[in-house]
Amino acid sequence: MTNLMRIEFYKLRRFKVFYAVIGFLIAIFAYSAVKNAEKHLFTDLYQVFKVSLPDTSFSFLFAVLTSLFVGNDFSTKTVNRELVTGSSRWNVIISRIIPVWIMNIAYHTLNIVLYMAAMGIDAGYSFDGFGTSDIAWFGTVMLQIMALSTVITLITFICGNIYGGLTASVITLFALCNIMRNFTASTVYTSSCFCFAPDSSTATLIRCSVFAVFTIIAALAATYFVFRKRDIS
Amino acid sequence: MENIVLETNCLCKRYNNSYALDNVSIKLVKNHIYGFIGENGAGKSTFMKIISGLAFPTSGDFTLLGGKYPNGVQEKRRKIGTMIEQPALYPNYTIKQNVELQRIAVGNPDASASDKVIEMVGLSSDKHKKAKDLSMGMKQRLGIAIAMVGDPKFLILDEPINGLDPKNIVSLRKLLKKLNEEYDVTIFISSHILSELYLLATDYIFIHKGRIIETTTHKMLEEKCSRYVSVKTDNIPETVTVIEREFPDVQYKVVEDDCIKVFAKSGIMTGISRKLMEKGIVISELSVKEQTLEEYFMSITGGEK
Repeated sequence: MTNLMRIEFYKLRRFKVFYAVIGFLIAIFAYSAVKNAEKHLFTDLYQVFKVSLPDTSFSFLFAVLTSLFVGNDFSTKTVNRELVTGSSRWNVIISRIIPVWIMNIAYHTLNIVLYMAAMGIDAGYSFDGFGTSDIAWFGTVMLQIMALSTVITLITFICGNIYGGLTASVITLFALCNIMRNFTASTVYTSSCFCFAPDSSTATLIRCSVFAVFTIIAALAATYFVFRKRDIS
Repeated sequence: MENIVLETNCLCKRYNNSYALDNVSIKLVKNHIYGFIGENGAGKSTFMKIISGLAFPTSGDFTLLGGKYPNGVQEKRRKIGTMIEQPALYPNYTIKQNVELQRIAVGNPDASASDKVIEMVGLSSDKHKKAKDLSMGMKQRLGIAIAMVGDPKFLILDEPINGLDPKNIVSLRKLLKKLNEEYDVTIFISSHILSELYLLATDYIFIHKGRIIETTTHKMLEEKCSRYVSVKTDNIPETVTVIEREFPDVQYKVVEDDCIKVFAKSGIMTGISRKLMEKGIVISELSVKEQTLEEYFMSITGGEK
């Protein structure tokens, strides 16, 4: 397991798409910093944080990053190399999930930091207003990102190739998100990992955390079920 | 038992209603080179995938390096090297990186192992080249280096000669012989280039439509691929009549419109030529030939009428 993790982190450090996405974010926020300077959209940095933490504008990029990272090994058949060394299917799944979680958490954290950095030019860089409940809020959103990443990993494992996984992930997430938003009760949608915790109230955070943990367990179990006896072509 | 590298017991693999493997029971002994011979779709790759953990048998079991399927083989798979179909490579990584990642995967603590196997397959001067920029032959050699980096005791190679030019084929053959003779590696290799397998293997396993139809050693095969007398005449039906009447104990096979293979010692040539000339049959060719592995395979699988 440790060996597989070392390999996946080695690959993650050299994952060019991730750096391209970060470059894209920097460009977007640099542009928005210049454009919105002195428009006084926010009064302080905490307000920027409250907007940026649950923001799902670029969450489709989770699907792109995850599918490319996980699916690549199926398309190049390099996943075979790990299986023939006697690694269990479960270890192969976990060794991919953990780097994917870290990658997507890093991506979203950077998204928040860059947004705050860009808007802070106008709103100032004072950390007044931040409290311990915000750490719990941040943790809950990260848990939701882990849940979302696990669902995308499941879809990619089902598809078993890079482009199939990418297409299916984007379409499935788009469809699921809209179905939940339009056809389920608002508490279901706002608790799901498709809508990051909208506020830091204890009730919201507990509801969202429970939903996220349940999603992680269910998606992991489904991935294992799909992959454990699959013949690799 | 210590000498047995792999023993399969009634291994079956079914896809829908057809069997890719049908009750395959074989035993591979340490330090031998096994040539695994069969047509496309005969079940060679399926068998190799099951042994290496890429596929699962429908029924049956096997013992690999003393570990019994299913639970006992996982750890043992660290001691085998595999290259099935095409080598699986990270295209954007260099030769060194590709081998190094596999060294980590198999848990070989020897950091110099990557350089050693790269040198062994003759890729040292290109080790900083990316895998996507390599020729087919270099990719095949890299695949072998990846299979070797875990210091395996058992090597499973599926069509490793595919795409190699004659020079690379010779160097691969030498490499595999060296691994077998100097490093005691047992090799299980499939190839469609039977003439090449004949130069390499010590044992042969023939598979046809998912069933093992014959296992034999190189020595036994040499005896079976016995010499035959090739007779070409202007009147094959009459030639057949003469052979059946005058040489009732010999076996023969009509292979072309004007050619008969008579499976007997070369001494029979004089007798055949005399009897045919007595009957006024014109002989256009009378020569002693040896059956190739290819011809033998065709004869046992019914590929030749």
